[in-house]
Amino acid sequence: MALALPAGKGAVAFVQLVKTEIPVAYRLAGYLLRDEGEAEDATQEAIARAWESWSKLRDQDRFAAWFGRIVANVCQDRLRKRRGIRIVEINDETAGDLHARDAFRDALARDEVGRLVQSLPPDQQVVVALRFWRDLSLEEISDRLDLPLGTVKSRLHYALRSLRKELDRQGKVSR
Amino acid sequence: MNYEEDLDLTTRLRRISAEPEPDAPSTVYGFLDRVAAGGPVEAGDVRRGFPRLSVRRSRPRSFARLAAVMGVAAVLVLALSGTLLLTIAHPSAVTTSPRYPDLWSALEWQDITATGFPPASDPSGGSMPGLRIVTWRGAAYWNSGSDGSLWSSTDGVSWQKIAGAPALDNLLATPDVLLGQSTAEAPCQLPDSAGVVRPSTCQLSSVVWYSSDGLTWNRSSLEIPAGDAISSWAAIGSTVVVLAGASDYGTGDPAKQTSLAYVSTGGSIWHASTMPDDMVGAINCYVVSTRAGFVVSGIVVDPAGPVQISWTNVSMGSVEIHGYQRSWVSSDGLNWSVYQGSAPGTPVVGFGPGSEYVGSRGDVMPGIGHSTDGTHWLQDSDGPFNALGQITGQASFSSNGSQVVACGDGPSCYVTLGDGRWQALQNGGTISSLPRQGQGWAIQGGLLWDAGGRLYFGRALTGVTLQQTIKVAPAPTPTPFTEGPTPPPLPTVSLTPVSKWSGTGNLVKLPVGPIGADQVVAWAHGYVALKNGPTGGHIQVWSSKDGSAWAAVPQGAFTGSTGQLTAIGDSVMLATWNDGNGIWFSSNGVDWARSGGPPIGDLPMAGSGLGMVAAMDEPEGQVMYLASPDGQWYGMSLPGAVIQTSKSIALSGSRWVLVGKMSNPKTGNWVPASWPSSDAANWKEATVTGADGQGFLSIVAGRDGFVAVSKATDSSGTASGPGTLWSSPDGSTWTKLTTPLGADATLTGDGNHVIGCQVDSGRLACWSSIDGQTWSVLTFGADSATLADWTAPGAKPRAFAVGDGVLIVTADGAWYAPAVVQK
Repeated sequence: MALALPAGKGAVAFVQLVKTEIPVAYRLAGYLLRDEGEAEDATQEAIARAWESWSKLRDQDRFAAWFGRIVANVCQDRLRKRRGIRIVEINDETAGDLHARDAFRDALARDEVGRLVQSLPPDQQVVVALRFWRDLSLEEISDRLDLPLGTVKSRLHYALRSLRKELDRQGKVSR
Repeated sequence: MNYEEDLDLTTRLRRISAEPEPDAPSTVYGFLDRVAAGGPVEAGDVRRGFPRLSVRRSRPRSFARLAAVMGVAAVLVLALSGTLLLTIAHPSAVTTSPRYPDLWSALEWQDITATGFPPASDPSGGSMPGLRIVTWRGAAYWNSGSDGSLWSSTDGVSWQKIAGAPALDNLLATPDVLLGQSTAEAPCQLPDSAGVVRPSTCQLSSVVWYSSDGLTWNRSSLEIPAGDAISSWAAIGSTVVVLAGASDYGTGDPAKQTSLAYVSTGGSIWHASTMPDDMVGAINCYVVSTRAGFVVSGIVVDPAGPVQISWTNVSMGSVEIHGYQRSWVSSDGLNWSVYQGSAPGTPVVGFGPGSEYVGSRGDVMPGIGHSTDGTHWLQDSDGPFNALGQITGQASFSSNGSQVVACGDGPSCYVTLGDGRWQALQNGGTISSLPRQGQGWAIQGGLLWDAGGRLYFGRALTGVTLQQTIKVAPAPTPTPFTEGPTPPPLPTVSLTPVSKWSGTGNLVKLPVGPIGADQVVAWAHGYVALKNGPTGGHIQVWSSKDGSAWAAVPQGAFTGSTGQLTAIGDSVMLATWNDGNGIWFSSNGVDWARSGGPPIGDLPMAGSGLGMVAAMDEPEGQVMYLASPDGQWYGMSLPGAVIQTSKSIALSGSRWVLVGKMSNPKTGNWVPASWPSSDAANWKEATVTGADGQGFLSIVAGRDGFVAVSKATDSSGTASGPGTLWSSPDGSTWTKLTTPLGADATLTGDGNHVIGCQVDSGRLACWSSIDGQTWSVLTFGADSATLADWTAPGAKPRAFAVGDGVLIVTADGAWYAPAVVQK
């Protein structure tokens, strides 16, 4: 599908603003998608989407939140499309044998809870990633995702409850 | 409990971060510069990385097929390798050496359709349904999908039918015997949309046959109870493990439950395995052979667990199955225990001394890789999903015991020995072209391409490069999708009056009809019906000019197991997804031409002579309009909040109404939302008050109003519980319905009449309405036997308005009668 892009209006500003956000975007995508290659794809897709809507952004001061929302949505879409695909979890043993190491995958494999996050619904995964791996406050997440604060709180609550329940079920936590 | 105060959990979460955190690669910055330089940017630029393996990887039936090529490698690798590595002299070949001189490098194609294989069941296109091929003792064995007959060949070109062989629908080779499955209809228990197992009649049961010479076949002692069917099997040496359980056949429900496992060492005598409690009843199970033993992987259903399967059916809506992934292992197939090691991947090549696996490990290994034991996997850096280019369409993997060949549209095929090296295969030969879409089967000495109702054999050449290659059919040209401008003004629709109905004349059972249809649509020149297939199966399509006389459209014309029909201009459109996406248009309901276009398969869509509208989900929140199959796509944004989800759309006259849900800014809960439009260009937004925590799931249209269904929807967007019915004259204002219809009624609408049906006291009770508010009972002209058919277990009756008549469809039949107008 060819994307009909606007003319090069404001291209210089767009490039400058995006460049500052690329590291943050790429890392968020990496943690959510657990794959460097797909994180790269998702970041590119977010750039393309942002450029398509660039003319609609009225307040460039809010660029970081606006672009971050696009990145989160792209990742959420990609996570949703994974549903129905049988996912086989990585473990330390396997990760150690892989030729192609992946920094994000390795990081998430360090703790069982990292592996469990991927079993959460995509919208909960995004909130968890922003809260614990991007260190955003609930208010910042609400702003970033354009979600009511209550929705952010409830998604985080359900996500953490699911993680705790599964950890307890696996008996890997002694409290 | 406030789980943010769970320090153990939150600390562990925070500790997860890469150190140092990786930087984005330079290609991302290059992409940014290229985008801002003015584009245009193709989607391929964005999706540069590995595509995930197509759904064949996750289809239980394909596991059976893939497993069917396993177990023979021990014999074949040694037997075949010497032959296959010989360079074959050919006039069209030059001495230029390919990258890997020891691998197949080209295929010399010929059309073998007329050389002795069963006649094509569908000359209009598609692949042979149910075809299975295994290589065993130097010959290829093929069970025809058209009649189950068994054929064999030693050269890939000449095929002989094996007289007296049973009708088989799957094959598995071991060093000692060739095994086959046959199936039969039987009463069964099937899970419904709520996961409750109910009696049904569309189930299959399985019988296993074995042969020590490929010619004489014996029925094994394996007795699988009626209602269950083999879902997966695998072999390690002579030991074969079979998993069986409630089949998904006929429902499309992916929740196949494993209840039985058997083991045999020669195919004749079978023993029931001892399964752990949690293995019994696990769903989507499949068995693979690894060096650790047989490993079964599946999902243990637990409503408290995370979502494992999300599945949408046009008629049944969204289904989510919760639970946990789990694996079990057995060294002998008899005794099983929970498997603690690395979960197996999806191997597609045999297991045995000197052999390796080729397959995938899901998130561990995007794309494809290889393994020496079936559990530890190495990614193939130059596989067909990365350095060698990308397979497009539905990828098919097959093995002859030593080579593994992966093919996509084109055919574009790649070969490996399972050692991490891949080589692209050139297409050559004397024929002028090959069908673009099909299924590849590696056999001894070459590759079969099963496509377009014909069969082709490509003799493998090793170590050579062809001077001339066959030009493969080009891919359909995508139709550009451009945001804005707004669509041209639509013509004025003049509608003839519609009468209310009170019932039907004598309903006649149709000799050919859309049995089990999920959708029936009216279009400019008649009606088209669609039935979704099971996972891994095919859709079925029927066409009719008047709603009473129907003809089946050859199913091989389409890919995909799920689809949607939509009228558009003077044509009708079919969009498919699951197991193969595609868009087809037809101007007569019989002949269908595949087309390019945006990937709209599973989007809500509705259309008429005015054109069609498809709605995209969040975050885009857009609707797309297309006036005609060869027209321009227009895209428009929906007004309102970003967090919105569109579920269903209906059309009455020239008014489209899209329904879904959006976030209540005050409470954060979902509320039902609708977006009406009278010109497909300008859309308004309306929400339903007093329905916090719900979302619309579906909508149907009558002449003077709409009926929609909402359900309770949790924070993750999952709908559950009984439905609530709503009516609206315009798609903006909604009133809760208090009709005789209950929460589980099935609703259909053709833009003139809405029909709602439910089973009351063992009888099918239906009502119709043209405005969604006033309803009249439909009295059917049907005898008692017919009425009983409609409410038999698993019948799933539903009624469709088709012009001036009513079509009743069940899982077993279809009936039609003219409607009786209310006086």
